[in-house]
Amino acid sequence: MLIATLFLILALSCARPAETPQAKPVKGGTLVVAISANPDGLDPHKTVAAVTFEVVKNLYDTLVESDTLGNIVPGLAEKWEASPDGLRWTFYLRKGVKFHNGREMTSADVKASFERILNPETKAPRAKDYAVIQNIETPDNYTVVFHLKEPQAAFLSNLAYGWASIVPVEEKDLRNRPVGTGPFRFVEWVPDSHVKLERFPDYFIKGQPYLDTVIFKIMPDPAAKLAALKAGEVDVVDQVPPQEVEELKKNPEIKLVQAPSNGIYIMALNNARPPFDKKEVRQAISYAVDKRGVIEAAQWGQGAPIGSHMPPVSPFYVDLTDKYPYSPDKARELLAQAGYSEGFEVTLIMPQPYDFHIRNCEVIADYLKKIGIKVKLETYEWGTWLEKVYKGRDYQATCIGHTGRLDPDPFLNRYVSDSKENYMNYNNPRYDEIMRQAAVATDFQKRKELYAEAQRLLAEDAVALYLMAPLWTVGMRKEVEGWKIYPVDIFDLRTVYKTSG
Amino acid sequence: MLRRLISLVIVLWLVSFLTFFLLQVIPGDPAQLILGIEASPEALESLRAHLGLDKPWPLRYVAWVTDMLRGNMGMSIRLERPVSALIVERLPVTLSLAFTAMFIALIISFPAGIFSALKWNSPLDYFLLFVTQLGIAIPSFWMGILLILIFSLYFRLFPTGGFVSWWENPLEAFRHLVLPSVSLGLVAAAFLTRMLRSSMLEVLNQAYITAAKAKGLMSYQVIFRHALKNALIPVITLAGIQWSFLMGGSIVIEQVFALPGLGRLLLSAVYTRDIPLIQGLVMFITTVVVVSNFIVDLLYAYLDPRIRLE
Repeated sequence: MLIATLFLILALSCARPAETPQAKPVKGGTLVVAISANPDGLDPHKTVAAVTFEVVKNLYDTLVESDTLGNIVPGLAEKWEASPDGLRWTFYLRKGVKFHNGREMTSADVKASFERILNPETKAPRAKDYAVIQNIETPDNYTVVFHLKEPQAAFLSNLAYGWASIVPVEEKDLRNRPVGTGPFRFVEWVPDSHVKLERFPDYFIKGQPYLDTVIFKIMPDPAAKLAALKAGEVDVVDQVPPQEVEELKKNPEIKLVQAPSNGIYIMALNNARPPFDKKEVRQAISYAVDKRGVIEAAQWGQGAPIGSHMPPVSPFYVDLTDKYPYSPDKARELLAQAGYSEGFEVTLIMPQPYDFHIRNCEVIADYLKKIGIKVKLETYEWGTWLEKVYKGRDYQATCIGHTGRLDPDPFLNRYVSDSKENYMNYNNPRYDEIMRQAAVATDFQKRKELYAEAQRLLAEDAVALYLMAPLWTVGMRKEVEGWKIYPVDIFDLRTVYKTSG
Repeated sequence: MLRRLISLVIVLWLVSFLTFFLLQVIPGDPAQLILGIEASPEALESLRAHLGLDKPWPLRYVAWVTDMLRGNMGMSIRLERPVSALIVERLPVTLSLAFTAMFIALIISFPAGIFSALKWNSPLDYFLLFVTQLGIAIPSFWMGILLILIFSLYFRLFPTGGFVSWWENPLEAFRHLVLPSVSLGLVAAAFLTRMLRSSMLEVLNQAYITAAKAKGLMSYQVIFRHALKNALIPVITLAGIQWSFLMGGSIVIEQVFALPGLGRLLLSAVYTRDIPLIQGLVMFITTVVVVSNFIVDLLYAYLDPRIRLE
């Protein structure tokens, strides 16, 4: 999934989760969080923007949730079970969960919420993810049964995303007056200025949240945001640019929470257009660029190199980083084999205003020059990039990123030959076959093997230049505790508290 | 007078046509930007129909213009609210900023420009020339960030950004406006000072000024009654342009200081191809510019009776 705004954070799966140590939580207080852009509406069914979900996660809940390691844990549903054929999923809801308007949440609300998502009039961007639902039964007030058209391995994890939140459908203006079951309820939203939330005393997790008030301040300028953090005007900054990390580390009033993100940066190649229609040329690109060099130069070392379309934090990850070790000689050899011994000219498109992709492209251009490839750098504004590069596939190469998901299927199936998201024009019948099998398989080991083969295929065919999984840094004042990082686009403020002020 | 009014209307009409037409031809589909990249073709088609984007453009243009003349500027696609309501909401921010910046610019540039001209070629003059050169060269956003670092972070005198309305808390409102207004105002002041200085110098060398002095008029009478009024004409022109620029929404300053003004609204409207909002904002800003110029023309007539307004 494309990174509209990059707010993906994931705890290291091999080390302790990225959490601040649990001292005794302090009740009360106001937390001010600086976010980079104005949410595009507070209706969870009508948006996909990461920055929106940073706010919205605190207003609504989902049937199930993801913990910091990517495991699915109970949310509004206490437990669930799937039928052996994978076509029937039954969820048992918690009792006594209240909406902010006082009404109790029941199975009817779950049914109504999903029907709302699937209703074309709602224009939900993620409706497709739930199209596998045939119909929903509510045998009693606290039991919901989903009947699926076919088994879908990603179904459970798809219910953990913010865009599957349970809403009271009688509220007509959720975009501007959100009402949910979440730990905070809505106070006000002054667009381009701030969103203010206050504690919901009847939240279903007793004792949470700790904070009285949360204010999300919309501050697009990175320098101003950091100045505000240092001055104590904001308590948390959503994203610290990599070049500022070293300096902030030295500041005694600030602490940083860092984790590798559930996302990747790549240079996508159009496999259907010369010169990247030839496998040797694509492989040459992978040999010609030193990934660690790009990470150092473009991201100040804040990232881990990758070899295929999967971040290291995923349980399905296979380490293919050394498939194409840095070797300009090998690159030139392959180019000659492909008939490009004189090199060639290529246009590299950079999406504005995404600085990290622009920097990556600039560094890559330098590496390519060394093997005789002349790069012309062009910048497209985001809307134009979406139209011409992503939809229109009218490009040769472009630097972009993709947000990881809880399940590898939605992340990897863009490479299926007839996928609408296959903007790299990859065409491999074996890959299509693997993805088809893995999407319906229920055995974790079997899926792991299949996705491992998928990653190896992508690496072998050098479909794109797989650069890195960036490191994510959230900056906050020392008094803020309980901050947890998740593999999905959210800021979960339930566990956060301040030790003073 | 009538001629001027007619040309005002013509300009507004031309701008409306140009804006509308340009928005039709640039790449970027509003429906796609709303529904995201995974939307099905049917969903896109139905949204386009819902937004009225499937009708031929001449019809849509006429519908839009007639609506506007009746006061209806359309609905924002993205924010699902009337464009006029959105503009009214953001207007106080941009107005406060523009007024304060203009005020700062004027109270600095008038004394500075006049003294600079009177003390021509003196150390004071050279100093002012140097400072104004800096002011012209320095981009306002850089000045803004610098001011934040010095006065918000180091001295903790002013907040780093945000907007508080005058009704809520006048003192806080003022504190939040100081740094952004100064960033804009200082830069504007630099231009105005230069303009006033050169204009004054030109006027002071005129024969009628020497005549006035010879007649025995006191210096300040010479300056204010005779010289200044005549020197003001090019300055007023420049001030009018600067005012239009400030009202147009100083996008970058609004970004740096996190002010919810018209500039940021326009920027996000362009990014999301929110066509009704873009059109509404452009027409609003154009109207402000055109009306400002008209007022400037009226001021000319007051200042210089030789200029007639037919």
